[in-house]
Amino acid sequence: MIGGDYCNTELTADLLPGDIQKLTADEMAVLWRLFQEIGRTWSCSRSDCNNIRSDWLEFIHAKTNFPPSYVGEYSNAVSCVSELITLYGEQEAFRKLLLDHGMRDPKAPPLTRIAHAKVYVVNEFIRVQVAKEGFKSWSGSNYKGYVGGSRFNRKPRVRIGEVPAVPGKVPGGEVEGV
Amino acid sequence: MKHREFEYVLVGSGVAASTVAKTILESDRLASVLVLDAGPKVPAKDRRSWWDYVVLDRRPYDYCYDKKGENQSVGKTEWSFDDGRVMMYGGSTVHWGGWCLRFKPEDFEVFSRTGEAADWPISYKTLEPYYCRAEEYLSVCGDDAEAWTERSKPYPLPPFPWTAADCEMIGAFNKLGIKPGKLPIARYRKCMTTGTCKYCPFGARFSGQIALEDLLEDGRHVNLEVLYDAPAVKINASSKKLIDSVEYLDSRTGEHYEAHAKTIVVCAGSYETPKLLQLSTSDYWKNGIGNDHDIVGRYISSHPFLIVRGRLDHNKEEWFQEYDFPTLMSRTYDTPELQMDGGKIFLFKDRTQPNVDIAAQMIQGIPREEVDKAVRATRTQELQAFMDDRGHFENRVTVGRGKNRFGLPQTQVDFSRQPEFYDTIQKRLALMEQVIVEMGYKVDPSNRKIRTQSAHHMTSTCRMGKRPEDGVVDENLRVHGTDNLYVCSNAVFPTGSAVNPTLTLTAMSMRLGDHLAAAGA
Amino acid sequence: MLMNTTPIPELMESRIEDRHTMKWLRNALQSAITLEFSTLPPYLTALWSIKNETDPVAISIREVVQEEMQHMGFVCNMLTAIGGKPQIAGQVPEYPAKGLPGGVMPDLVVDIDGLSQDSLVTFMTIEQPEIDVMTGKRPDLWKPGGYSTIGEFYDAIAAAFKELKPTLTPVGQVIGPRTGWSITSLDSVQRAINTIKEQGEGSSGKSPVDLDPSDWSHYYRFAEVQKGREIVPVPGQKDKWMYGDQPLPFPDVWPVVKLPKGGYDRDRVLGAVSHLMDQFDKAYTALIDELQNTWTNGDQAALWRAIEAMFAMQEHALALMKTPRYDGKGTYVPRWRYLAAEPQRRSS
Repeated sequence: MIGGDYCNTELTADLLPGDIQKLTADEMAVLWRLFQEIGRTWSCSRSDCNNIRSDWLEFIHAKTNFPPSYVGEYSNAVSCVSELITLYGEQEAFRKLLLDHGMRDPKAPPLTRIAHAKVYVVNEFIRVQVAKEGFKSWSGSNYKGYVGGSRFNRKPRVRIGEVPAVPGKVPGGEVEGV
Repeated sequence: MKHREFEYVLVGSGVAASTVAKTILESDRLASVLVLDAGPKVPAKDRRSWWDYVVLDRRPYDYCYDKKGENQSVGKTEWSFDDGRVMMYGGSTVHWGGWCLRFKPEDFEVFSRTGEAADWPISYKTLEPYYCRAEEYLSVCGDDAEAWTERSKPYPLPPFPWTAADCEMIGAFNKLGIKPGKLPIARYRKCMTTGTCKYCPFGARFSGQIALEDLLEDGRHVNLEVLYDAPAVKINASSKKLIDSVEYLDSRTGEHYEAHAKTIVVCAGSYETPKLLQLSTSDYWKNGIGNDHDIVGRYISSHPFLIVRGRLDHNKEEWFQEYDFPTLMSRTYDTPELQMDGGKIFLFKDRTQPNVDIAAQMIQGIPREEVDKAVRATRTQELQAFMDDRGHFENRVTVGRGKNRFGLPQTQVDFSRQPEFYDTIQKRLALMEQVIVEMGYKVDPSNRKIRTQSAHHMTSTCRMGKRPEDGVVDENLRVHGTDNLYVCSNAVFPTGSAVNPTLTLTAMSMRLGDHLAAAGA
Repeated sequence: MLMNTTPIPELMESRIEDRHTMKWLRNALQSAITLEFSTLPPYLTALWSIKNETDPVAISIREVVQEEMQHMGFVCNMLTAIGGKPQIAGQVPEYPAKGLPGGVMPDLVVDIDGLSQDSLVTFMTIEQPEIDVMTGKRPDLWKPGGYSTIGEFYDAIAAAFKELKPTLTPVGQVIGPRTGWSITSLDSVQRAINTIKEQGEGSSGKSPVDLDPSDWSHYYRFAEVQKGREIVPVPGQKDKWMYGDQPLPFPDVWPVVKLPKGGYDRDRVLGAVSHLMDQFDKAYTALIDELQNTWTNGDQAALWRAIEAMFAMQEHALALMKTPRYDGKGTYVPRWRYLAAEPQRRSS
């Protein structure tokens, strides 16, 4: 396990209470930094996530203003990151949290503060980042959750290919797309 | 018991009810129509719900499915109630894929051609103009160059293009003489292929909920009312022929109401429609309305779902899922010849494969270089098929034990396959396996099979028939023996073809709506 | 004159020292927003009048519209980046309009019309470059704008950014589909302005190409359709272009007639048609209000609602364009009216 006393405090797996509470600007700054570190760690953002900042903000808004609120989880994650930075320094803190956390079983219930931060915050941030931008760095044109715009354009929304010709017909086939 | 009066009461709020309501209101904007649904209203296009769907794969209406432990399967063939239908405002079109294929002419003549099941009392030709209207209404995107069935009008929108991964299977199709097609799919122009079709953030795929909301928002429809959390409990007859009212429960208050109407249409799907009729007993209808000949609930027909999966030892193209609907299909084996030979099949490539869950790799803490290797390591592709089914008298839906949490009686399904069915299945699986092998993939033996039978496309439980001995409803969907009770559901189809039923149901709903509007006028 | 918009000629006539102030920059960006938005109603009406979504001309004009929306997004983000609040509601003209917003081309009549020779000439005028590379001269349809071109106006904005070097914050910026990038550095400002200029006018004096070698800038896209011939390289000559022999067929369009001055006579319009017009105007109002919400609150979800409203507009517009007018002359077009207050919505 990573982290110190705070991170390894035991908890139940349930969502930490957070209704009515609001995140502070400082907490938002740390969460944004965490989100950006995902793009940096896996080299899957050419904009340091700035191009998807408004998407991320909308995600946070949805998670904190509608039940069940994630404010308790986000606040917890910020505190965990703070302890990790104190213990390991900034760079190593994020490296451990994203790559070297030891929490490899995706089905395991989160029973410590750091596990909560991982399951409810880090893992969901990863899914947001990949859906909104990260997938492109793996040759993708489209992904679940990505809004690419109208499909009536020259450039298709998905990867298309050259349609194989029917054997015996003129070779070359057609290239798919609008 | 409180009493209310309407011109029309529609039980159910899915594609059938919303289309019948729309068609009636187009001819009489002031028509007084009550639409009832047992299930709750789950808001569409809610942002938090959408994000939870993207990130947690959780849909806000997941609780509206049948639960494990509810319902009973008592036949010799295992029957699954999982995910088959959604009990909520908008019905199963809240979760449907939007696949919109027309039945073929031979699907209306199964008995004449094979001696099994029953013929429809109407032909493809009769329904063809309604198919055109339905395609326009649902905004079906299809390829006019393909000629699987005769059509008198073009598709309203062009098809979605095949993907790069589709082209691999098309190559195999071509070599085996299977003609590839582009799956006709219901998507409005505003579809942006977000891959979240099951809960579209733009409402780009038709649903009964959106259709009813649009009708309600239209300020002209001042006498349209839609109630959810309102299960229909019984249909009451005031004489043998005259059906008087629908008794329903307001689940929130516990109060019962009787909604009296000149015309009642049951649009409650293939499970609930027969159960409601069976429960509606009286001195005039001892076995339930329309059930003097013990046909209500019988002749279950539901697509066997065949799959053959293959695996390749690389994925160097880094393919992963980009659409949330399939684009490649073929109706090469959806023919009269195969219909005569035990059952025709409609082929389509699974939309979810190939896929790599890149985020899952990152969540594990796998660094970039290793994620790249994992993405490129292997992939699967899967060819799938629906087969046309033949209803048998002994396979039936009846009322089960107890009620579910929406106030609907649980369902009992007694379903047993005929032995020769499995021979046909093996022949069809062998055909499909050829495609996977031709692609250069290795067949996965544990995914070369038919899935457990379920009700995704169940039909025939209140089938049409010219005579009351043959069917529950006549060719205009009026329940035999009544003057003013109709059924509009997949349940009325005498046969289910090899393709999805919703386009045909929409066409039938428009035809019924026209019929009722003309009668009302 | 629309609210809160400083006339562009007035902005361009300011002294240099006044142009290099934050006040000038904020006013200029606001005027640019209003200008970019104003191209959408006429362009969209022309686009929607084309029957086949996948006709090459429809695809080309759709890309123009998407680029205009991208330009508007860039400018809204630029203004947001320097702490300003983009104003969209209250800025929309009524049609037919005389002149573009911001006092640009005050004599140009902008109609709501389907795709036609007349509308194409109007569009080419709006997008006019200083030099038409096909002729090497000023465009024939040149209209004085009080300054040279919209490109010059954007050059002035770029110069102001360069001079002032303001702090650029990503807070409140919203990136939509195809928007490309957020405004977080002078480099990103300059790239955005280059994009707007080159997609609009082309590389003035050099080629009809915008950023993507397979794309023409807006002026040349419209010119191709207007002339009915595709632009091709001159054989054997580098960086030279001509209208080639390859015909670009005029697409099949709905037989719309342009919106009359003062709108339609309500007494003569059938109830069902009136309803469609009202539905269109409601959706248009929703579009503008949601675009306003997008940048007032930095709200991504509002942008999605705006996009959805635009598609609702298209559905109503199509229904109108298929409906014969009461006078038997062609079919209807939407009125493009912004409704100040939304009627009550009834839903269960």
